[in-house]
Formats: sequence, C-alpha cells, structure tokens
Amino acid sequence: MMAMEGQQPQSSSENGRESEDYGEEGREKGPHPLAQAGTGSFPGGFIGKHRLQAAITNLNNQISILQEELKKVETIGESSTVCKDLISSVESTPDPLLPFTKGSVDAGWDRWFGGAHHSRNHKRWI
Amino acid sequence: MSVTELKERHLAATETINSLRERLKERRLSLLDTDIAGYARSQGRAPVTFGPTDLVCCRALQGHTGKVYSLDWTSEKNRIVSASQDGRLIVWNALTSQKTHAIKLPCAWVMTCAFSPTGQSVACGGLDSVCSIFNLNSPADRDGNLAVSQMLSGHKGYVSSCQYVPDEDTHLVTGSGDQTCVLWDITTGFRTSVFGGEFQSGHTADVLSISINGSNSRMFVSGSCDSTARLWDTRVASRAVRTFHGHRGDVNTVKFFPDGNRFGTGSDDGTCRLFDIRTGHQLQVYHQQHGDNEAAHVTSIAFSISGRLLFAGYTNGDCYVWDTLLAKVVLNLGSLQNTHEDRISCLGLSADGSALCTGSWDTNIKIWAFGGYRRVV
Repeated sequence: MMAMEGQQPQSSSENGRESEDYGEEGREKGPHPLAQAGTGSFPGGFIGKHRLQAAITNLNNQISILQEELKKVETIGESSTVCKDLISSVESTPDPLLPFTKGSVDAGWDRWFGGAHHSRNHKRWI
Repeated sequence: MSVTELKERHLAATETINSLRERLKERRLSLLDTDIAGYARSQGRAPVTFGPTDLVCCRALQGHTGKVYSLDWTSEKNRIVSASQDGRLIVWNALTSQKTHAIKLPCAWVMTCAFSPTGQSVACGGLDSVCSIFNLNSPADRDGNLAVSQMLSGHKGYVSSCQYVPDEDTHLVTGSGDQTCVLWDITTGFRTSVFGGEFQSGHTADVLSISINGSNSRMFVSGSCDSTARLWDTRVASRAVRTFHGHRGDVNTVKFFPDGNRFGTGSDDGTCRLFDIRTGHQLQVYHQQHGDNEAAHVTSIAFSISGRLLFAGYTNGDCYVWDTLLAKVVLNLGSLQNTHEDRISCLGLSADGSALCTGSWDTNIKIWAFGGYRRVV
C-alpha cells in the first residue's frame, strides 16, 4: 500500500507484507511451525538447536501473554457499557465542524472566513 | 534434548497458541452485545446532517510539484508542515496560505512529517530509513536551504511515520518497514526504546502508521501490514499491551480518538474501525458498500475534536465524513466543489478542531472549515 511510485521500499518482509497466508482476524490460518521464530534451515535441512529453543521460548512467552489476556477478558464488561461512555464523551465536547454546538461559539472557529462569516447573525460564507 | 523433541515441543506450543486465540476470540464475541451504531439508534440518536455549503474548502495551499504524502499541524493552530515526493517539506501559514519555509530534503523519497510541540522543529522520514530533524530557527544557507539539525539513524527499513511526544520537543516515535517502532531521544540522537523486533510480540510486517495518545503520552498505537493494530506502553518495550485483530488488509492509518480511550484505524480492506483500548472491543466497522466494485483503500483518517465525525481519505479521491455514532456517511468532501483530483493521501485536524486539512496526490493541500449556520442546542 505504502510503496512509492518509481521505487520500492526496502523492507524486511516480502512485498511489504507477510508472505504467510492470513485468514480471519488477520492471523495465520494454521500452525506454521517456526514461522514466528524467524528460523532458517541449514544446508542439510537441519534446524539449529539454539534457534529452535529460542523459538520455543518465544512461543511460551506468547502463551503466557494470551493466558493473561484471557484472564483479563473474564473481567471486562459488555460493549454496550463502552458505547454509553463513548456517546457521553462525544456529546459533552463542543465541536467547530458540527452544524450545532452546546454553549457559546468560539470566535476563533470562524477565523478561516476572515471575519465575513458570523454564525450568530446567520450570514453565510460561500 | 534432541532436535526432534524440540520440534515436537514447538508444534505443541503452536497448537496451544492457536487454541488460546480461538478461545479469546469466542469470549470477545460473546461480549459484543452491540456496536456503537446499534446502541446510538436504541438511544434515539439521529445522524448529523450537513447542508450543501456547511463544510467548505476555504483555502488551497499550492506550491508542491509532486504528490503530497504527509502533513501535520502545529499545536498553536495556524501552521502546517507538508511533505511531498517533489523532495520538499513546506511549512505554511494556513491562515494566510503563505509558505514560511521550503526545505529541500537530502532524500526526496519522503513518506512522513511532523511538527514539534513548540513548533520550532519539523521531522521527516522516508525510504532513506532515517528520521531527519530540521530546526526552523536555524539560519538558511545561500540557496535558502536548512541544514539537518539531527539525524535519527537505526531503522533497517523505510520510516513510514513519525510523531513527537506531546509537550516534548526532545522525544519522538517512529514506525518503520523493519516491523518496529522506536522512541528516540532527539537531543542525543539515540534510541530510547525499540518496540517489536525478533522474538518479541511485535508486528510481523511493516509498520505503516503510529499515533500517540494525547491524554497519556506513554501510550501509542501502531498499524501494520500484518493486518493488526498494536497498543504500546513506552515503559514496557518488550511486548505490546494488546493486539487488535479484525482488519483483512494492511492497516494504513491509526489515530487516537479525542478522549484517549479508543482509537480508529483505516485499512486496505476498505474499512475504518474503532477499538476501545481498555476492553479491546471492536466497537464499530465503518464500511460503505460499493456494489460489485472492490472497495477503495483507506489511506488516512482523522477525528473531529469531539469525535463525532470521522474523516476518511480513500485511494479513489473520496473523503467520507462519517458520523461515528451512527456509522453513516453524512458527506463526501470528494464530491464537493474545489475538491481534490486524485487520491487523498493524508488528513489532519487543526489543534482547536476548527479546520480539516487534506493532502493529495494531485499535489494540492486544502483546508476545510464549517461555513454554515450553527444551531446552539
């Protein structure tokens, strides 16, 4: 997406994207052994022990992160609670780009119209 | 332990991860009892309505001779910095449309730019994998060019995005094609923290965009070609606080919601999404059906100061104004008079929220403001 015309960005990932196949939720479709570990193969097709161990350590870290998140998810509320909070946050803030406002209009909002536009006396700038 | 045993362990761990992810996904889905639009409708909210001359293009900033890739406003309201493929950064007084600086860049392939909080410096980055800082108060040379005052080198891929830490001219966060984000100390030129990278729970493809939380500058979010957005705490670089799934394409743009408790994303999948950082809930998908045509990619987003409006720029030149609460397109700036003639590449809101700035591949920058009658409610 972000590649610029006439030149390809040098990136550590193929074509600026992951080469792995992605399924729903932007995740790997199936288990892809060693994919996340950045492990390479030696000429004989053998994988270095130390690389495998590092990869396993990495996977174990991810497991503990996911388990932690599962615990957190048990304590969070439903999305309707968040929606209620969001609506009250949005509606309590004056917004210069909306056709309505709560409270007084800030004169600075109309500086783009060089004084020719005053919403208070219904003048329009076109 | 033999290689065979290690491989078996690796496979078992991978399977555990996949089953945990599945459980997590199911649990999250069970908590999504509504989205914002459904909830807002149930509370009797109606969409915002704009008249034909309510949002108008009140300035056209002309001067770039190449595609505009990035722009940023100063915090003191009226100045903008823009970066273009013509190899220049231009600093504009948006109110007068005058250029105050035109900086010729050492590398023309620029992708991002940012104003420092005090407005005294600008930063930019691109395919040279370096983030360059220019002090606007430093004297220009005979040709009128400013020298680079600091070069932040260390990324192994292009610099796709940069943003100064709010209220600090000395720290800046970059996102890069090397799959990492970096917090820099500009004074020393050294990396303070690296977010992601090998054997860490970071992005697994190019980072395309970052956004720092205005309410809590320790938190920032990144969007990536791996189809995810990740939330980071600058005090814990080793792993992301949370990973947000849902998009089915590169996440080209991320932007914090004004209240700092959620953030928006825009993607190659043609959708914008709104996520809550505390619960991890995906609160809304903003998607316009285009018949059989493939949806245009979202290149950039910005929220109005209350968060009621979500501006989204697309590769086809549209710039939709979404009502964030009702998930409805209430206006398309791309269909108005004096609009852009090519893709919208970048968007930015002025510090006081009174104007939206759009940058495009048509080389122009336009400023949009409310020019209608405001009802006081």
